[in-house]
Amino acid sequence: MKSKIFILSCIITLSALLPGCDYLDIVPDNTVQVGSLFENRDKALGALSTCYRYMPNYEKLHESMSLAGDEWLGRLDADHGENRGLQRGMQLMRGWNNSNDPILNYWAGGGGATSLYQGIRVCNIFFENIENVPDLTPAEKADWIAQVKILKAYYHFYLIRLYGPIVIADKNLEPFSPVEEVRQERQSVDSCFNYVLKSIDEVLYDANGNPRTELSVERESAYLGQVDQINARAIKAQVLITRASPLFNGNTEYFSNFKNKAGQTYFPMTYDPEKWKDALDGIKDAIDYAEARGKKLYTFQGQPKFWDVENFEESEIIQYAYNKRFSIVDGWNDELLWGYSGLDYEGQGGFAHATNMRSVADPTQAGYAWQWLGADYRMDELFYSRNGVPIEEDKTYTYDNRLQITEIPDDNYHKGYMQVGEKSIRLHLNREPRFYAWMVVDRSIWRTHDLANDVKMRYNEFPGGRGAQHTTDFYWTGIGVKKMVHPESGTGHWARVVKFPYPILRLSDLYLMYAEAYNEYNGPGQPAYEYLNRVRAVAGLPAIETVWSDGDIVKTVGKHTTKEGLRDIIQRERQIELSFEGHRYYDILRWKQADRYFVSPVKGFNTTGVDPEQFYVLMTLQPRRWQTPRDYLMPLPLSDINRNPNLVQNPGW
Amino acid sequence: MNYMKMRMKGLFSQSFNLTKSMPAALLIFCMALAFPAGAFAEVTEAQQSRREITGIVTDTQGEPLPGVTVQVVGRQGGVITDVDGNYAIQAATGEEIRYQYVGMRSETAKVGTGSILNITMHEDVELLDEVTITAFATQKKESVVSSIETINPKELRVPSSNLTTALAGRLAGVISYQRSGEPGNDNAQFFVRGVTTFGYASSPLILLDGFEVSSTDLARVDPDNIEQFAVLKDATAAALYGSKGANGVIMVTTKKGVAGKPKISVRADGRLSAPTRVLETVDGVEYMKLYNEAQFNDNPLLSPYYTAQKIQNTADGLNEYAYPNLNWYDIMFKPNTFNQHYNMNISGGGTVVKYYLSVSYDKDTGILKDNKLNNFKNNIDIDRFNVLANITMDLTETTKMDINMNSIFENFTGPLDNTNDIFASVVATNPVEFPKFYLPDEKTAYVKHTLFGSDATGTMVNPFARMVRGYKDGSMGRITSQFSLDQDMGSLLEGLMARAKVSIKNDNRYENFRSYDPYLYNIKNYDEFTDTYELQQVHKGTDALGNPSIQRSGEFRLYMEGGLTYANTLNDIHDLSGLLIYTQEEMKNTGIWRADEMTIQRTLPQRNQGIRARVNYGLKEKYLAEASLTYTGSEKFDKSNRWGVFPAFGLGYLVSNEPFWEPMENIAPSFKLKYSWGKVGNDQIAGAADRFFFLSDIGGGGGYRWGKDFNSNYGGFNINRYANPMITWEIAVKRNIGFEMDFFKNRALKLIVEYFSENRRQIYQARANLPATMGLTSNVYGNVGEVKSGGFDGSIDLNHSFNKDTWLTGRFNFTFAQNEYVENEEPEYRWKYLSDIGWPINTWKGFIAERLFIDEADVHNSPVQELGSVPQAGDIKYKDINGDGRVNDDDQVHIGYPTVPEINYGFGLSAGHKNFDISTFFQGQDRVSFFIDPNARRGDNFGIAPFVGHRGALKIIADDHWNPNNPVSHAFWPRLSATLNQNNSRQNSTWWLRNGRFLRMKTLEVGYTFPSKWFQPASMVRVYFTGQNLFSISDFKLWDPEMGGNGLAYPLQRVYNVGLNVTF
Repeated sequence: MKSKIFILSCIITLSALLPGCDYLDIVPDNTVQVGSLFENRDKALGALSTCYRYMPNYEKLHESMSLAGDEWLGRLDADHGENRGLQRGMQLMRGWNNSNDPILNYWAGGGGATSLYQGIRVCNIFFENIENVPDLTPAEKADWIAQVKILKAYYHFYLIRLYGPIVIADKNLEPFSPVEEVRQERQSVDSCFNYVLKSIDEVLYDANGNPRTELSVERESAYLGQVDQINARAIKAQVLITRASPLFNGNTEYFSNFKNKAGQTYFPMTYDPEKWKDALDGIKDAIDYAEARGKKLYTFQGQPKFWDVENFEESEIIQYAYNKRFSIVDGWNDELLWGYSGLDYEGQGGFAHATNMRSVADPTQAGYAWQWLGADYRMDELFYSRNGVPIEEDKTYTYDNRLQITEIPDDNYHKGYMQVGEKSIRLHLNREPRFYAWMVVDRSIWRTHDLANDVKMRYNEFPGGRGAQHTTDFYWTGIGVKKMVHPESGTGHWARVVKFPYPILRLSDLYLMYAEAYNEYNGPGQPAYEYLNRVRAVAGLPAIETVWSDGDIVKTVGKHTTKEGLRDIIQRERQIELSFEGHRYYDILRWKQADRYFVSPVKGFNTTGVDPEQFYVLMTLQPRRWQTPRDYLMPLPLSDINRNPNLVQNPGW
Repeated sequence: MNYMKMRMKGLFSQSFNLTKSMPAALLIFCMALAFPAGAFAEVTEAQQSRREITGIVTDTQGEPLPGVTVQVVGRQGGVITDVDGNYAIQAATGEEIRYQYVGMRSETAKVGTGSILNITMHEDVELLDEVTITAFATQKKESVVSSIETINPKELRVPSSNLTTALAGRLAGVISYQRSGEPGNDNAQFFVRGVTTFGYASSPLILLDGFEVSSTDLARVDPDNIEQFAVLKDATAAALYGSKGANGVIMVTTKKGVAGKPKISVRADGRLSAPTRVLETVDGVEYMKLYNEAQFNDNPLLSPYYTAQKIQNTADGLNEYAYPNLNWYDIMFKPNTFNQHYNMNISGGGTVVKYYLSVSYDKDTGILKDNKLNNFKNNIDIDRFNVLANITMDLTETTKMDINMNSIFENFTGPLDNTNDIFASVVATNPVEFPKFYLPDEKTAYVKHTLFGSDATGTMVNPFARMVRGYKDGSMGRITSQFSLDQDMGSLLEGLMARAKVSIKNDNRYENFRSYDPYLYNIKNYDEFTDTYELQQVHKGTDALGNPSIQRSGEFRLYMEGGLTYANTLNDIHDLSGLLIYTQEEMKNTGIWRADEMTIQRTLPQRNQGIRARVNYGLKEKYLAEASLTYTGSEKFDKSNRWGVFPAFGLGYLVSNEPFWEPMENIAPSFKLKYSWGKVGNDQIAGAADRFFFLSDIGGGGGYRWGKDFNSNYGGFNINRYANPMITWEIAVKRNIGFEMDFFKNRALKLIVEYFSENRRQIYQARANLPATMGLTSNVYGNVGEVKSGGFDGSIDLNHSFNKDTWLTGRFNFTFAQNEYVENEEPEYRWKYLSDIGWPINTWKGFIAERLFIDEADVHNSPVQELGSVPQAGDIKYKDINGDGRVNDDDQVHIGYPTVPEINYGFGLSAGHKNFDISTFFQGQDRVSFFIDPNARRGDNFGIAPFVGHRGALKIIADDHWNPNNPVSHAFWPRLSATLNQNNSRQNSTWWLRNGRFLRMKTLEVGYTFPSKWFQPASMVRVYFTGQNLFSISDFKLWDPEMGGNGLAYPLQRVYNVGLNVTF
């Protein structure tokens, strides 16, 4: 007995010692490593997709720069309006940004944005590994590399627009590098622009200036949204015009004291008119290239819906209104050069969801049609009169009486767009077709939910109005925006929302860039009018030279013949044509006009008004704070300044 | 009495008491090897002249003792005394008879010429104290050079079913506090000698009968079953635990069987439990006025949210459904609840098998109200069964086997949501928006479901509906089985033993969450004249409970050890002992039920493996030395860095055994100095999901969509970690120096004071100097942090009997533990005060709040506060520390004390006179800060910010806030705001800092023991009353200060307990 147990215990003791050294090796072999992301074409497509993932969001209103500026106004109630994590672009305009915890921090990530430097790093990882993909054809490989090069340049460009001088991240730095190596400095604005332009040119042209062909000219259906030769040229045009604009070109007014540690200014201190020449050439190249490949301004060709057949026969403006309405929401049309396709396909939070009106059939169904994001009152005034000139310039338009209540006439100009016989104000009558295509006002008609709906925005009215049942979801200014909603979009389920790519660049943008660059370099001239008029023609507006020479219509006759006058006209045209598409904020900055627009409060109609007399009273809804020059550039995050002593903070932050 | 004498006496009197306890048995088992084998031969010779010896065994009071084991030394078998204490046994002259009885010191008597041997047995008070369990072995307390704190398990018996709540202030060297009073979820936090790392794990290793368990397992141990509760504080004590001992070790040993007739003890407790403090919320009328004020402060352009009409009608108490004015706390919670606890244990056994069996039952209930309209209960209701079986078998004279089975079974129901969320929802809901439910109107007269209230959009949470909309029920079973074998190898080498042990734990938890979706209604029209209302449904719910969502979790743990121990005394002056042990352990899949946790890294087993060796040497019972070496490996590290070597040594000097101490004998009979140094490792440097540091972690990330219909959707990747094979152990270097001293001849006063220090190195931490422009998608980590800590702890024990009837014991203990950053990965701050170096860990950085802004001019003339919103009058004005004209994160300084107390202390007195006893215990903490959370997260709303999302408000905010009509510079709450004010609520600042010190009467117990004759055959019957948390003294009045910043959670409980203890 005794010895047995002795032996037993010895065995137990020994057996415990047996497992040996591999007892601690428990990790399976095939875990994912960087190399395995490029094993084959299919996986490499995922890597390509990851490079695109860092595209700044154009769809989601809380997580994009698109609410920045003075076009939109969303919910003002305490929960939503005072929430720093919502409607972030709007909160930027209220002086809420800081270097502590930047809103829309594209530099380091946070505040609703992802770090673009992370995107650039992914692009570099892509370059380092793409050669190893065995089943990728050389042509396809070259195309992908070219795409990612353009993307990387675009990410740098996006950072320049926000931050001015940036750190150029051409090569990846290793995570375990010594700290001195990773503390990079910001480069001068010109070097940054040159880096971006050089990167794009490397894809488009060889050393002798001959076009390269690695990058596809256009994309097949399955890859729409990727970079191609057409949109690469359009991006280049946008970079060039940004570089030439007053904010970046010889801006001694704002940035003469903004210097690096060696004492050199980050911004060029002398104005260089040749930058406009470069822009003009680049834009022309982009336009010609796009037009040669079938890109043209959008005109509506389809069959109107049954409820609009009659209107199509009688209305004077419906063809133009359709042109403009569908130029945005008719996906991948010929006018679109580059569309944002990284949609949150099944989710919410996009412009389409926040701006769409609730279904008249089901007032409680809020999903995908929240009806709370509307327009600032200034957008109501921005659009031209039916003569194609600003309302304050139109002699036939009694600007001073614009808020006077009047009855909507039964005529073929307003038919189908305003509710005949109802009370409205003069401001909402006799406006250009784009006004009726894109703006929503009380007693207008809105084609959405696949119906022509009568909009009612007064207190306790539905749809659109404020009331006991709609304490937060209503158009707070009494002015809505149709531009981002497809007329057939429904509510309640993601599948009912008609998807379209959000326009990043479209042809009319290039035309207007051309006119601007031409005027800045050469002064007024026919080529500038020509491109302006093309944009106006599809919107049903008369030619610039005609209308601005007509003393019966305009107050300032011949305004288009002076450089300053034409600049004004081009800028107004841009603000109208590209309204609500995320351009206005950057345009106003590059024109150095923030003090003109961004300091005035947001206004709207009195949404608690029950009758027209009460409703059409202008109310101040939200004060705005803008500090020049501070707010022209975003703050670098304080945490990064602390991590990298070589960084110099932007002025005023 | 010198040490040698004591030791010999102890050896002889105890060497036969194999059964007293497992640790004692083990030690003695080793010592028994010292006996020459020849002793057995002598006995056999004596067999010839045996005759019957009879006698009576009594206690010191002359009461006969039944059930005493009487044996002839060296012979198998024996007899037991009868009810009157009589025995009769065969023995020869010169043989020794041994008498053993539970709780009595064993006696031996030599058989003389007579045939009657009457014996008086003495109560054994010191036995427990004399040996101490150390890592993998037991040691005589006197020869221990490590810092080991033990406590009389009786002191851990508080009226709570959670053992961890008893620790605060009881043990020198333990820092502990309790943040929540939720039954089943009220574990106290505890740290050995404070928090000494800012790494992932700072909690001590907990061993229950030598097997690692969680703090929840510890919480469930019945104090009646505890034989010894020890805290291993210094390096020599903990080093053998290699990879896990860095944060200290808590070692709990359960009782073992004692030979003798079955001894039964029964205990029953009934407990009335109620919150120590209840939060006060604001009344409806005032709420509405204040909300309007708040909204006006935010945006004066908006019209008032609550109309004057509504406010007036509410004030007039018009119709309680149309104009509700509720106190949600009273609606949702009961003032108190009643809980029960029962324990029965039996111990006994013969010479071969001894057993200790225990069964406990707890009933724990919460103070949540149930909805009478539901037939299910959503209140917390836990039935817990705790079964323990310890069986010891002497298989042969040299082989001993132990089987330990410890099971806990729980059957519970409870609310669907986290209970702390339910409590917080009281503050998150305003009193006027809707009633808890409506009485039916005409249209809903025949509706079966409850007409819960909500706002017009149905989006506001009705906390009552939320609480009663469902319940969870479930069960939990945790079974631990341990098997060990000890083999005396004295035949090979005197004093050598072999041992082997296997432990298995299996833990399963299963919960069903059943709920319906409440229908929500709101008043559409209210007719004042007829006093009737028309309801509208704002949310369509479900009528019946849906299929449950089920959560399961499990844990499996397997531990094996095997090795040799040695203990011997050579030439009477060299005490030599040592051990060599191999261990390995594995743990799998703890508590995973979220899909995002089911990753490869998370689910692979966790493993440890190691060899530990220790040598103890004592010279002439005066000079003591100990050295140990541990070599352990962990699965978490790269092969090149997997193994760690952890040495430790200790020295002791028993000054009182020196001849020159002789004159001090009567004043201080014992005086010991000790010192230790050692390195201990910690492989728990990151969570289980983030373990294999030598691998990069690349996960799937969203990709980007392309294509006409956005259908080309390719998943992308995300680099979540960059591989680093250099990552290795966190290491603690611990030092301890101290003395132990007894005073007075009867050792009535015992003093222990120890000073300790520690350097924790190689703390795993993210590099903080890599700029964002590198574009890294995850932090890069390294073993870079270092923390220095130190302090002292000590205790004073008082033990005095005034006479036969009156006694007094007292205990005071004190822990002071402080720490500071030595190395911390941080950016190159332009202002040095931003650095954490030199500051304690767990100290918050924040702004210094100066006062409130008086008016807009004041704001304008102050440094710009760039904290997310534009400050206005009534907002908090912060100090611009660096004077750059702007207040941002660069102006944050270290404020307050750490959030973990630096001082924990406790003191208690017990006194008895005849059959009455009374004892009280006070516990306190000091040098601790906490922050009132001025936030309002709506998901897990623990902040107190009022009005945000129409949240409710605490009364103190209504009473004391900044008011535009009376702009004061100081108030409890700054400018009211209907939103989460970035400047006031989202910044850490001294405005919300509070001193967390308090002193509380933790327990008060009054007992009466009935004279033993009264309830025969019961040998002891005692009734007692215990009060817990009866009162506390603190500067902070809003909630129980021990809850710290967690004030909206399930409140700590005050308990009134009545108990009965019967022993047979």
